[in-house]
Amino acid sequence: MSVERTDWDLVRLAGGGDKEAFRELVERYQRRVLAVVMGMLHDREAALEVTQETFIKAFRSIGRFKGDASFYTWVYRIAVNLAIDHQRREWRRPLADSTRTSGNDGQTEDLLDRIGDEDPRGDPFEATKDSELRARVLAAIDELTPDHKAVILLRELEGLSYEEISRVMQCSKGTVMSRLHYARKKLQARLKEFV
Amino acid sequence: MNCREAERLIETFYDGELDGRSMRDAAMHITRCKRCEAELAQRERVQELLSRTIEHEIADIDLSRIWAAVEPTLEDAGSRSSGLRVAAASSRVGGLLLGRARSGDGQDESFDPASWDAPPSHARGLWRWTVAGGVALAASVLLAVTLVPQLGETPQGGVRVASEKTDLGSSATTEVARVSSPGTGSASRGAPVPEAFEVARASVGRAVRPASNKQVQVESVNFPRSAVSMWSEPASDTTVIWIDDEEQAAGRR
Repeated sequence: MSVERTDWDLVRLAGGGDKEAFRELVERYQRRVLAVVMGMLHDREAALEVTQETFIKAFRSIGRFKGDASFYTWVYRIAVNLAIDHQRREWRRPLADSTRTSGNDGQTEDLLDRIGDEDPRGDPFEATKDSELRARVLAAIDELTPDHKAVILLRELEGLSYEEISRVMQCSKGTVMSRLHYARKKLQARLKEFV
Repeated sequence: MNCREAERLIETFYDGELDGRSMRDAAMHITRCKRCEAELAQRERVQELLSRTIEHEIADIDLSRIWAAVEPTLEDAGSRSSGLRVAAASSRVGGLLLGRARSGDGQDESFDPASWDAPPSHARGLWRWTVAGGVALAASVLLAVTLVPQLGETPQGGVRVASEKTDLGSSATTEVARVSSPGTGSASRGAPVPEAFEVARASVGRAVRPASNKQVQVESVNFPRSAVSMWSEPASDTTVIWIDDEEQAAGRR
């Protein structure tokens, strides 16, 4: 019977160049990292790219990871920073080069187009309702700033504690609490007919 | 506990971040109060909507694509890692000195994962401000240096601070020349100082965390018959150097 290796065991092995150990870490956390990045970017290809870049960057620095924090909070920090960078680059891009149309309405339309492609096996009425709801949720997230997005996603999707979020975001616990409060209020207001 | 108190705690209660006693009190109130219970239910619903939506978004993504893209880069990444770290540190120094714009909330535009062991939370932000202040102070010293000739006093010498040893091996060099500030040193320490030189130091490099036993190496002192005294305060990342020019002091006497 094999005993599951801890993250720290794997980190040490990966630090010594063991690619299989690193692969195990990637497989352990890729879905969670992808979920957070997806929540921030709402673009599958971009989310995949940022997730890949996150793990490449993690491997490059893993030899210096001292284990004074969880591996996953460390990886989240890389991912969140890369996602924020990506978002800023997108925002800076001239509109002519971008797929964005104008303001948030364009984004919402994109989201509606994307998630309107439903599984035909289900009830079409329910499927449409669901897709509309998801579009509204994504549009509501989109209205948050990158920092507010990151905090709410780390809390609500990943269940990170305030302390862990403060390490990921490099801010105080008080800042985490106030961002969380603001983000929740805003989401509640935007989604009030569904909650 | 009443509704007003519960309202204040409901968020931290929901997040499981209250201490034992407050947790129990809040729980007791919420189970008896319809309004607070509804408030809590709203938060649960928002959380559920977020999770469901994002899960749906990633459900059909082929996760094997992640490793497939990461794996070929690892060989290369491993062999280049130390060089990249140096480059990252250099770019951070450049960013610091050139005043590169940072995001509104203090996020690094390019996070160096190797700096993870830096102090968490606001402490790091404070140090950045301190260093920024140090750089600004250094700039003002240099400005003062350029103004000295206009005041009719020609700089006659200089102190070159070669490096500051920290636990991270980072270094910065600041050159100062004579600045006339008769009577007092800018640091309110000790007796009035005839000639004062303030050297604001910027310690640069990874995480900008000074060692507790900071040392400043003076490369050269070009003030014949002068006494040099130095005061370093790691907490404010500032080093003050006094040059007691005996000739001038004797002249004044």
